[in-house]
Amino acid sequence: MAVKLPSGTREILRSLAPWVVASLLLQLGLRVVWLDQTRSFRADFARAAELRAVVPEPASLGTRIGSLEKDSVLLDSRLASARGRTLESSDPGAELAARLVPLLGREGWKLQRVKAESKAGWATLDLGAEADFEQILSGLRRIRIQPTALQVRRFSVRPSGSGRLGVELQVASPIGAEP
Amino acid sequence: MDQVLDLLGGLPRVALSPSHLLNGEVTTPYGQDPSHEGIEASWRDRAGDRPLPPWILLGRRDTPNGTVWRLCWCPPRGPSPTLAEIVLPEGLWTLERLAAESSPQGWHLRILGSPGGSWVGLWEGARCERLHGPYPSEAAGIERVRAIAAGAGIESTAEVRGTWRIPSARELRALAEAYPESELLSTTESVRRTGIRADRASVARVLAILALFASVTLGLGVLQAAAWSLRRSEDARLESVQPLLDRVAALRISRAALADSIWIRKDALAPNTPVDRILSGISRKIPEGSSLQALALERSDGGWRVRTEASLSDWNQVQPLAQSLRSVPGIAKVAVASQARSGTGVSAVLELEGEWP
Repeated sequence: MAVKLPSGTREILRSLAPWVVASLLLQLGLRVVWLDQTRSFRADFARAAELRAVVPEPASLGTRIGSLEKDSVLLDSRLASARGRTLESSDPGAELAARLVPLLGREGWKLQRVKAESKAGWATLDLGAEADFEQILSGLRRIRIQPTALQVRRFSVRPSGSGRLGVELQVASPIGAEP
Repeated sequence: MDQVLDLLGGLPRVALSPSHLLNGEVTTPYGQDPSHEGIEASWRDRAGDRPLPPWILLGRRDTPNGTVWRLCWCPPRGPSPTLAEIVLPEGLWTLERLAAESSPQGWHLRILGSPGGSWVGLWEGARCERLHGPYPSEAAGIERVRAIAAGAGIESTAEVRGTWRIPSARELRALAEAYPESELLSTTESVRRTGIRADRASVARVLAILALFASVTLGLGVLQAAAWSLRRSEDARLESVQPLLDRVAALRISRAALADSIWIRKDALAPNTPVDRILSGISRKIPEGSSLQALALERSDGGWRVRTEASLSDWNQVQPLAQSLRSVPGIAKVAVASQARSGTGVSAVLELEGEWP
């Protein structure tokens, strides 16, 4: 049903209506709808860009995994080697003495003094002996080629009264310990 | 599209409508434009009490009695077009088209063929004296106007033909603005139609604003959808590589643990001390007839240090011995700490330093 408005009211209405509608929609757009839309797509674009920059490609990840696995195998092998060269018994000093004393005896060393102890992660063997020069060299060579890790900390030779050489030797070996 | 823009701009629609053409004239004092009252008086002389119709001014001619204005009254002929707020007589547009032609000197006829019929005007130079039409045939129109001209004692032989074309909305609005007296609609009808047009313009503007709002919202929505799609794609990529990332993290932790274990056991990985090689290298450099009396070896930072006493046969063997010891692999430094006579020979104390070979 058509409403008959006074002429002046009608003119005012048709002049103002577009401005009022435009103003209301501008407010609605700027404060609510467009603001939310802008925030939403900016957040999504930013997240997408961040992920694109951070997430690596499967191919490069595969390469990295291969490299890490290779490193792990190598490190595992070296750790096994280190464990194999370490004294693992409950009394490492005794074990070190048990390994070296017969060895040096077989090389002709006449042992006069043996002292074994374990301290601060190391098993230490102090010994005094008599031997001739070739026997000393041979004994030291046998120590060098032992599968157990051995460090000669001190070594001295001097003439002894019997015409042979007096030997003082301190050998240390690391004790196995889990981190 | 132009019609929509015209509506949004609140511009009126202008249409042409057939009308009668009643030629006449008004004389004004020299140089003055004809007044509404003057034209109405001229119409009353001709048509009595009939309502004053719209008119078109054709042209002017200055005479000793004043300025004579030739004009055409245009009583409407038939109903006016309904889709227009301003309705002009077709003769007005015809006059515009004929006036656009180049004007020869003297009296001549200007003829224009339009869809509604043929128009014939009597012109003197660039001034229109009379306009008649439309005639069903061009020949009839020419004959009629020639007869009128002959009756007025005018000899016209030349004929100029104009070109008809449909006027654009802009040209029609310009015409309406230039010739407001030619409006065929009554004032009441004109006001009514203008009001309706204004209502429609207002509604169209509101709709246009709504459309603009919807367009901007839709545009931003498209951006939203694109951004969402992009993000979803990247999220999917992240999900697809997540197992690989977990595997990398686990391997890194495992590698770090292995490296820590190895670091703790790094002494176990060091090669065994090659004391025999150092001792053997030193002993090979002792000259014939000489001997080492004592030797003491200690570990130092990153290497070893040896102090030994050598018994040599004479002084001259000390420096060559020191020099030759420098060539032993692993020996970096040889120093003679002291030398002294001992019995028949010489006793030299040597200090050696080096790294494990």
